[in-house]
Amino acid sequence: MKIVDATTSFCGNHSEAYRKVNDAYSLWYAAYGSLTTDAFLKRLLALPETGDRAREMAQFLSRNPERWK
Amino acid sequence: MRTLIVCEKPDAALRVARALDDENLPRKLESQGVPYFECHTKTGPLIVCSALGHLYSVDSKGRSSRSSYPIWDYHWAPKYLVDKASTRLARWVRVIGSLARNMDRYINACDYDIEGSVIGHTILQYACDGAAVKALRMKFSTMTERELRFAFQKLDLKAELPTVDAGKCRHELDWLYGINLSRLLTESALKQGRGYATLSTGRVQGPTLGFVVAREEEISCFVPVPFWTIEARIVHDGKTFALEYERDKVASRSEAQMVCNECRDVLLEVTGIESRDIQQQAPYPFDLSTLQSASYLQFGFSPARTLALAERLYLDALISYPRTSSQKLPLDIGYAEILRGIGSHPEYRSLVTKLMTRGDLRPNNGPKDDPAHPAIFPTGESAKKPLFGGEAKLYDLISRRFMATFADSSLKTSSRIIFNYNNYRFFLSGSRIVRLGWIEFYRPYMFDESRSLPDLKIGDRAKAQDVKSVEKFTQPPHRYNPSSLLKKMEETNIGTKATRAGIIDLLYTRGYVRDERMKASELANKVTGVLSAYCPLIIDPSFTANLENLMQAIQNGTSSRRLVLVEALEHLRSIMLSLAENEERIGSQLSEVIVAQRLADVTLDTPCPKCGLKLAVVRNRGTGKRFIGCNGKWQTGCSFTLPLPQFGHLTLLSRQCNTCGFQMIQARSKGRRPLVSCPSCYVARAGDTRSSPKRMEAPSRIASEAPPAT
Repeated sequence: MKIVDATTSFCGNHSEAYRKVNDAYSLWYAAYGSLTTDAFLKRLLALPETGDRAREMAQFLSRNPERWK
Repeated sequence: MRTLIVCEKPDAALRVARALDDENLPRKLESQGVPYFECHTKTGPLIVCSALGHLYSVDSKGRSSRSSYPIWDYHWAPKYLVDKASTRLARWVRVIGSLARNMDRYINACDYDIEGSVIGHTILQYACDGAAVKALRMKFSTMTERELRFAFQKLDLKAELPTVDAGKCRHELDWLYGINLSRLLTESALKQGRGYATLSTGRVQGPTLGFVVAREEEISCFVPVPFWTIEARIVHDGKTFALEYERDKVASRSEAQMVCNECRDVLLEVTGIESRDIQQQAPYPFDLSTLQSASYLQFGFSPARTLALAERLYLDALISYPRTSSQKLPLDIGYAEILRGIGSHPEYRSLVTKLMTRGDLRPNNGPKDDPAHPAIFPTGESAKKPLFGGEAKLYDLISRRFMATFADSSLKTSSRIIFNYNNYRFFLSGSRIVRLGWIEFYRPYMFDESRSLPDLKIGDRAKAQDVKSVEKFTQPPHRYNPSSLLKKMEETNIGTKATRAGIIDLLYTRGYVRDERMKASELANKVTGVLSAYCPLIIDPSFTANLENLMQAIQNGTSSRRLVLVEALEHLRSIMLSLAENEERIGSQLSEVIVAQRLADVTLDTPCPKCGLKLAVVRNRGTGKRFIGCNGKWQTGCSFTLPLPQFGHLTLLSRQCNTCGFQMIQARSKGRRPLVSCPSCYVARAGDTRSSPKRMEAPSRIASEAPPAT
């Protein structure tokens, strides 16, 4: 997989993936009561339903946790 | 009076000639290998000739290389001059031209729709020295003798110029958009010097591909969200019944656990029993798109295959004209006579008898209409030879649907027992068919959903068992399949009933999509991305739908071909300018993907069972035959090979063979069902029936028989 420099901004497609991952976190948090971002991303990566681009984003965010806004 | 009748296909010409000849025995003649028929009638001799589909098509004026664009000047030219694969059509044009001389009357007897009108008109106009203006039109919806004779007696004197103009305009626009945009994309990538790939787009293909790519984007960015379902069951009279919790989805784990804890092993009380009757009307008669959907659902036939099969049944006079948008069966087709005809088949006899005893035959007509043709119906004629395979299946589906549409509505009772404990509600649902109605006639294609309920009444109690919460995740949207994509095209009004199936096939041929569940390739993403960045209009369905409406206006006589062409070309000019300005950037983006896709398209996921290196589809330079060879040939001397189907567009599927685990392949030919097979099992079966199909080692005998890797 091509790892993007963590300092650059996302392309249009990955911005959409970032938005979806970010939005989903609040739903997951509410569903489980409490959940760390790290655990969330790990589970996301393990699920077969996760889309390819969302998976790339989850992988990227787990390596660059400072990119969570 | 000598009359020339032009039909669309040789089979249709034979049927027309047989029907119109006084003794049903027309004389078959041949000139330069082109068949035609001579009939004798009271009104004079008839010559019935046929085309082979379109004999004329749009082409650029003057000579132009395949790489030049834009092209704005065009004319209608014989197809044999335009398409190298159509050289044999030259003989057909010559023969029809010579037959047309010294004729007193000309009749266009091509299929009665836009395409048929254009085929007949162009032949009469260009091959028969302008005879189109004085030609008469024979209109029919079935190829039965009775209807053909009737159509011949009631020839239409009105010129169908608006229909022809609309048809010609569609061809011209499709050609102008297709050739200019496709050449621009192909050439911009070629100029990067990284190899050639045919890239295409068009005013219908662009938005259609756009749908697939948009869905792929949705799936790619999909993030699943957890939810919980509550499962429970009761046992009554020794039978187990699964209960549904009042909410399909519980959004939080704690709430789901609370429900389970509260309801575990408690006595649920029956607090209500609901019951309602559901009346389901008989299905509408088939129009083309509902037939294609039903055929895909029942048999897995692609829309293009269904259309091809239906056309064959139509040419055999077994069903009416299939390219129709109508869901209405008019009275004048003769319901009773058709049913009597169907009843001659033993498997339909008892069903037909039931319908005939009702007296009043009234179909449940649908809302869609087509001024040219009724809905698809069986003619009631018996097949001259037994039907097999796809034709037999489709004929059965059409016949049963026809009978079902005359039947009564079905009646189903849907019941629900409501259980309660501490304000937690559980349901037990069931249904029972009270009156079969039309289901009896359409049975093999209907699923019986009857589910019986336990004999419980209000106040009874039952113990909730195995109460548990199950964690689940939301699912990404489904990918399109050929049938659902066709439906989407119809909903958004892009393409016509005749062209949609072909456009879907083209997406596969171009390598834009793969697999039955249509997965967009990287190339498709890139082409759509480029088009949406530099000329979003071409992938905008509303733009194409607007052009379709304009062409409909030509047919209705409220607009002219010239006006529509001027407007559409204005749009095309601005699209081309925008793309040409960014040609280099577009080319570099596309060529990068082409190289990657070309490699991915021929490299198998399954490694070589002999040396573990990658396997690829290769072509023998001498014979041109394709086969699977090992990339290790030049490194390790591995000689592992497997044969491949030689015909059709080959795709490496993402699924593995259930028997041996080898990667499956698909060979797709136009108008045929895709051939999906495992190259390894095929070899095991064909090469040695005694050996195990699980054999993955390179069989030396087969390897030596296969062509050498190049």
